[in-house]
Amino acid sequence: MTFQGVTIGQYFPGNSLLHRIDPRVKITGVLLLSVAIFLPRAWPGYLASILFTLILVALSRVPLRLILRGLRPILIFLVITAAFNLFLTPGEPLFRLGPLTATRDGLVMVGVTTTRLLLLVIIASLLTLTTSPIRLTDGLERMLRPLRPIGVPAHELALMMTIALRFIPTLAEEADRIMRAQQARGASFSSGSLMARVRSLVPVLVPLFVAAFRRADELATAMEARGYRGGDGRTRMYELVFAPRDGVALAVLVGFVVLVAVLRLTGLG
Amino acid sequence: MPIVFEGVSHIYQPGTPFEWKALEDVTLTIPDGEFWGLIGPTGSGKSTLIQHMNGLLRPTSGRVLVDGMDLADRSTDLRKVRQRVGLVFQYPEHQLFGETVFEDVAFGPRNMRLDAAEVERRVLSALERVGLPADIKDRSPFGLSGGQARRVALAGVLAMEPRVLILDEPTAGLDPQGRAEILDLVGTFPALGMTVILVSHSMDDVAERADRVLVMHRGRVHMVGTPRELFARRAELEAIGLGVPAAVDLADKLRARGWDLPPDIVTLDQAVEAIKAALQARGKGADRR
Repeated sequence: MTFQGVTIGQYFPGNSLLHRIDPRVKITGVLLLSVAIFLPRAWPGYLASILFTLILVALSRVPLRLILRGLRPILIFLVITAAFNLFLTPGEPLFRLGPLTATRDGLVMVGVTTTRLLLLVIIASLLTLTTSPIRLTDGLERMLRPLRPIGVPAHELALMMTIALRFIPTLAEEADRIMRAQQARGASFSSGSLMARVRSLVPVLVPLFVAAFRRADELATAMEARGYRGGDGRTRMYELVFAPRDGVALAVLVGFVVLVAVLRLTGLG
Repeated sequence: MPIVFEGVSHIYQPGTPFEWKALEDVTLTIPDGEFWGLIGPTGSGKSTLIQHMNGLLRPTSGRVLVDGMDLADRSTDLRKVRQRVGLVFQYPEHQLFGETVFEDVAFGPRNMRLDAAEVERRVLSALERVGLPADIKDRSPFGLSGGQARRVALAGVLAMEPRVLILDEPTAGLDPQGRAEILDLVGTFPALGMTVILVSHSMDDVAERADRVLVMHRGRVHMVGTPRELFARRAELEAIGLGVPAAVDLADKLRARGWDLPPDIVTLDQAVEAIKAALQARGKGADRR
């Protein structure tokens, strides 16, 4: 049992069009598309959504295998949702399973919700797959900046995210080291009853927390020693530049949402 | 209980872009009751090597035998091996977790399922052995000084009464006095019948005490020998970024300037004696400027 190879965020390094687009546009895009996916009422709308998502996947140059792996955690959720929809939607009976009746309308609902959820997760994971954590937090910080007058600490939030992401591998390594040390003292993490296993984690968690606080202290001291005093007046090594292609990307995204909205309003999709 | 490595290789994350060959074809035998120094530059495989000695890591190929037991064998009880081969990691005080020093040191013995009286006996004797006062046992390990905390961590392994003690950089981050104290303490263990393996990247740490020094380089055994044998091959050591102890360096420089010094100078004391003798032979103070 080790924590080696833990990654959070699942950035897939690359240089595709999707990778190069400004993170602010991508974040906005995910928000826009999340709305767009729930607009369609008939097949032309769904077809458009599926096609658009597939084009994005192709543009990202991320191996399909990685995207599918990202879907695994929601599989159980999808199955349960599908079961509820299939059996609990009233309508024309299709077949019976014990006391439960599947309906034709239920089957349609299954198709609709499964498609929507899958598209939503694919689009969201495209964001994290094609955007490095640093660019993601940079983008968030810039987008939250206008909210500062009403008390949103944009810079602090972004910094917290950056630090949290930065320290996950470090803490995982630390946990691995501590587990080995305790194993050398005869600890076992993989045998005994559930209670025994939970208790066996105490000798790992206590030093891990102590280490986390120590690291936090050291980091704070190191930052202060280098004159850190919040985001005011800070310049950046990499400025986010809104390039022409970002404008085009934003226009395409808005265009797609409008298309789907028009399809729905006209009753076509 | 000798520790035998037979053609041991270890590869981290094989088959991935992060593949890393940490050990390559290591064959060696560490006999009972000796004090070994294990030296090598960063990334030379020292830590990987010692984790094979108590089964924390399994070889990718080759065999590790402790007391004739093959550690890769499923039927080998690794817990038993770990009781006999104590491993003190780097900065061991970072692994302390008990509410009191007693609770922490008792962790190992309790994992051995010893009865309460035996656990208490072992904890108290381990604390005494590392030179801590008995009344420290009720204090929190988190309120101790760095040097004290390290001794408590060391006591935590000693309380299992291992027959082999492996220490990974036990003096890292200590002041000169703390270093000397820990090294002197560790130096007393072989006389008690314990095999000691001291990992370090400093020649000075091991030269004075080790019976034998194992030099690792790029995952391979680079040299094995007594400190004297090794320091005679100084150029080879320096080629991989390791030096010789200050006393050896001084003796070499004096010899180069025509001093007649014996060839077996390894420690500072020996250097002092040899230089004194040489000065006396030349006529007192004649060479001083």
